[in-house]
Amino acid sequence: MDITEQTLEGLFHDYSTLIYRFLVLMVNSREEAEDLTQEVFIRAYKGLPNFKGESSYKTWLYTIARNIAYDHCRKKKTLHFFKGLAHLEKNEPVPEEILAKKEQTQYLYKALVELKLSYREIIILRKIKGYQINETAEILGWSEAKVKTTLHRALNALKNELLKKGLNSDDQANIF
Amino acid sequence: MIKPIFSDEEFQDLNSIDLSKKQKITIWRNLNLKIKRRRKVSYLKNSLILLSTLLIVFILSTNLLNRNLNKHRQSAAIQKNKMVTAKEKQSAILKNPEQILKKSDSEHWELIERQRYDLAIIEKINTNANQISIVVTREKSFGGDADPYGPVFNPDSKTREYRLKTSDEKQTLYLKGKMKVLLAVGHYANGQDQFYAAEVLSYKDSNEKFYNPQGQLANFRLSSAVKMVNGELETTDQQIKEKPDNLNLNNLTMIIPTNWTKRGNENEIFFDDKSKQTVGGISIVGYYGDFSAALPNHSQILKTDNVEVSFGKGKIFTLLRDNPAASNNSKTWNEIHAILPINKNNLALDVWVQGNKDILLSILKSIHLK
Repeated sequence: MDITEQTLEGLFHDYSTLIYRFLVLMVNSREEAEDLTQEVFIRAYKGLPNFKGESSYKTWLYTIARNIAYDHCRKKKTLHFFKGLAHLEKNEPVPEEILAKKEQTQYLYKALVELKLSYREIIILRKIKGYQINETAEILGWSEAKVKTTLHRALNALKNELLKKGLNSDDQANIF
Repeated sequence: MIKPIFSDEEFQDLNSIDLSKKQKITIWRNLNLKIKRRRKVSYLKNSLILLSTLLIVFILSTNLLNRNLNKHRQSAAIQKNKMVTAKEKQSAILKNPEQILKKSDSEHWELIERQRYDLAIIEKINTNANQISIVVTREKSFGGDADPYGPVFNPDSKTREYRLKTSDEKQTLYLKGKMKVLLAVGHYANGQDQFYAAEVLSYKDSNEKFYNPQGQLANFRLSSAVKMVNGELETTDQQIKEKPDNLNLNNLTMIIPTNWTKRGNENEIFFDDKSKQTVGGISIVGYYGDFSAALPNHSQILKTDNVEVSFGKGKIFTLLRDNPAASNNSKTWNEIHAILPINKNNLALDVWVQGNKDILLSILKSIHLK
């Protein structure tokens, strides 16, 4: 085993679950997230000889995962457009771990996966993963100001989505 | 205060989706398989590139090698053809020579002095016992250290007979009448006496090229300025020290006073007056540097003027002439000489009259070289 493979093994050990969770929320499918996780680490293997260490491995892997998720969704959208199955992903089952949580968490999951990708990723990184603004900005390649404004818009969009899902109007002002 | 429905903790509940150990192992196994496959493909790709490069290098080298080989073959074939042509030429001459010279007593001749090289036409070939000689008409001479204006370079007659020096006793010379030859002319000695003789260095064939006596295209150097390259004679003008044809005074036209008469030959002209006294003339003179060497002895330059005639520029010298002291004649007289260079070989026309410069100027005005 060469040094690249050794490094890859270490990265896989440390970050595979992290990346997998991110991808499940991004693509709303456990199976697809598994394949994409694999794809992330293949790309990492290819990119390792050129990795300059300007960011942490975690940030680098998130960036790869994000790009892969975008590519995947674009392909899927095109495929569904030709097959007339534009909203197929909405029928994906909610993961067991979420089902085991409170009803509110399930609402939140369902509303989240309805959001567009840029809103979804900012909420995942900032609210679910709990990364700092600067860390999120680095992963997404955005400015910190853009992170803040996009998060604000994303939460508004989430609120609207939750209202659509049947939360009562009394709770609107206090959703977050 | 109403508690918000979704706190940060509730958001973080969504982070509870887990990757099971089994899933993790499956992903890692698939990942490894893909990496191995990729490595194989990459190895194959690199091998293919290496193989292709080697193949291209091999093909290019082979082509280059073949090209050089073909060039070499072609040049060898050309060389062979040349040799065959030379042999054919030699055999053609051999089939139809006027004279085939087999014997000569010149084997032990010693060259005393090389005088010049003559380009000449064979008029006649004489063979008497062991002596061979050729009669030639000289066309050009060059090389050698002799005075270019002296008799060696300007023999009385253009036609001369030379004893022939051959390289051994029984050499065959493929010579024919009217053939143009390049001769090395000089003084030779055979132990008993010295004589004038020549060696044939090359002959000119019908294709206008010179061949050496062995039938090969001539390639040699006679002097720093005369050489034969692939049968072509190459000379530098200054080194051809023959008397130019246009210096024949018969080619000169001029108007002289009506009461004068003209006499002389191709080398010198005299003008006589009514009483048959010589009052002027024209001759060919040599000069070095300024024209003083071209002026007659026993003369003193009184005046010098520039002049221009139809064939170039020259100088007019007004001279005071006297007789040599030994003659006991103290008479002096004026002569006006125009020295007019003809070409680059330091030769000039000396046109002179006694006393009257105007007559000289009118002659110069009308003088022309044909």
